Amino acid sequence: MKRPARAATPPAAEETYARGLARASAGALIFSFPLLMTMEMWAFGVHMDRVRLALFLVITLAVVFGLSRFAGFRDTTDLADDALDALAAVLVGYVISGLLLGVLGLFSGDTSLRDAIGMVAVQAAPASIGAVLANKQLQAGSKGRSREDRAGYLGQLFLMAAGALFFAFNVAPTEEMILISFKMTPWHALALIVASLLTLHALVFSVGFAGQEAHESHVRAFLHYTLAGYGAALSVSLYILWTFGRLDGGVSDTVRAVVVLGFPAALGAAVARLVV
Amino acid sequence: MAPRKPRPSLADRTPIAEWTAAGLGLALTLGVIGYSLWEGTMERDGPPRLSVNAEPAMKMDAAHVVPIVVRNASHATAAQVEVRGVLNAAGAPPEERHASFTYVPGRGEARGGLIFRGDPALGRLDLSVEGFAEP
Repeated sequence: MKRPARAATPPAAEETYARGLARASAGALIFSFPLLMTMEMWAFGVHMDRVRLALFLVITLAVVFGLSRFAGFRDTTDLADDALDALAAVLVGYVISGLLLGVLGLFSGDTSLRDAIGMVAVQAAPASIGAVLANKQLQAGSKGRSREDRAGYLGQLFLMAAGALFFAFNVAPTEEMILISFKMTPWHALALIVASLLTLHALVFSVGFAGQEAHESHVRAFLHYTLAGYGAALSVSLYILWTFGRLDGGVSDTVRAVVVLGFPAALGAAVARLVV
Repeated sequence: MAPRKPRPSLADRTPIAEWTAAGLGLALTLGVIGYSLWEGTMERDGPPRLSVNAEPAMKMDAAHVVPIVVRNASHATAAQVEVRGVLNAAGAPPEERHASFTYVPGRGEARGGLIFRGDPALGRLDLSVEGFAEP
């Protein structure tokens, strides 16, 4: 959120900040409503392993902070500023999730506090990511070089992983994910791996990652962006499946579920560049 | 990122992070491809092979809960698995209970429980898998 002068906070600055919060809320809504209206997500809030939920919240916080740092166009390099933005986004995420779940009538009189907290917490992740992106992205009068141009390779890898996390998280809770992996044969899985890699590579090239002009060859872009990005997508898939307790099957089912979820994750990794 | 100086060799102008990320990505990608290939070329072993086992019963208020584990020895996943348990205790009519499992993954297992009024430790418990559907 834009916080101009440090010494004085004139009414205009407060108004700008309020507008920033409103923008963040809109972003949170847009990014989180599909999951807020997904039945499995309510259930996960209730029965999810609490340690995994806590770890997931910490990772969300880190991702939101990273997005605040690398995404968007505002030209500040102030670490504290980014941290404040990230915390505000997380707050907006929690408030929006709680309000919307309430409006949708999902908290009844006999919902225990523990269940309500779990339901809001698990929904807050996409909402917070939406909040930080909306705030960074839609800032009026933003100018200058995109920060992600200066993010360096690791920063870009982080952006890809964040995109993968968001996309994978959006579909991972549904029953369809495991059903698809049960219906697939290993040959289907191989085809999906090829499709994921091709899509990722095509998007890496056509969208043009920052600093790509340095990549004179397809081979090098394939190694450093496509393969690295797909690796990130597969790792993120595995993590998300573990978070939702979906790794109880044997090795075959795990590999196949990771490949299935790796497809949306790869799309997310590729599109990260467009969204942020 | 692109220095305008005379070009150093590929190895020199590529940071270690890029090679590491690319290497990890390559390893993971080859891993999933390799596993899928290996699994695909292996002989398929027919329909799900299901077995059910009971674990020691636990007393819950007025009832006894018998945790059951359904294992699948085949690669084929079974859906809507029905398990039946009959408890024959001396001096009491047999109690029949059912549990159904949405999925028992290939080479995996699913857990559930049967609830009896009588104490399973004092009688004989017969468990059987009644049927399944393909997912």
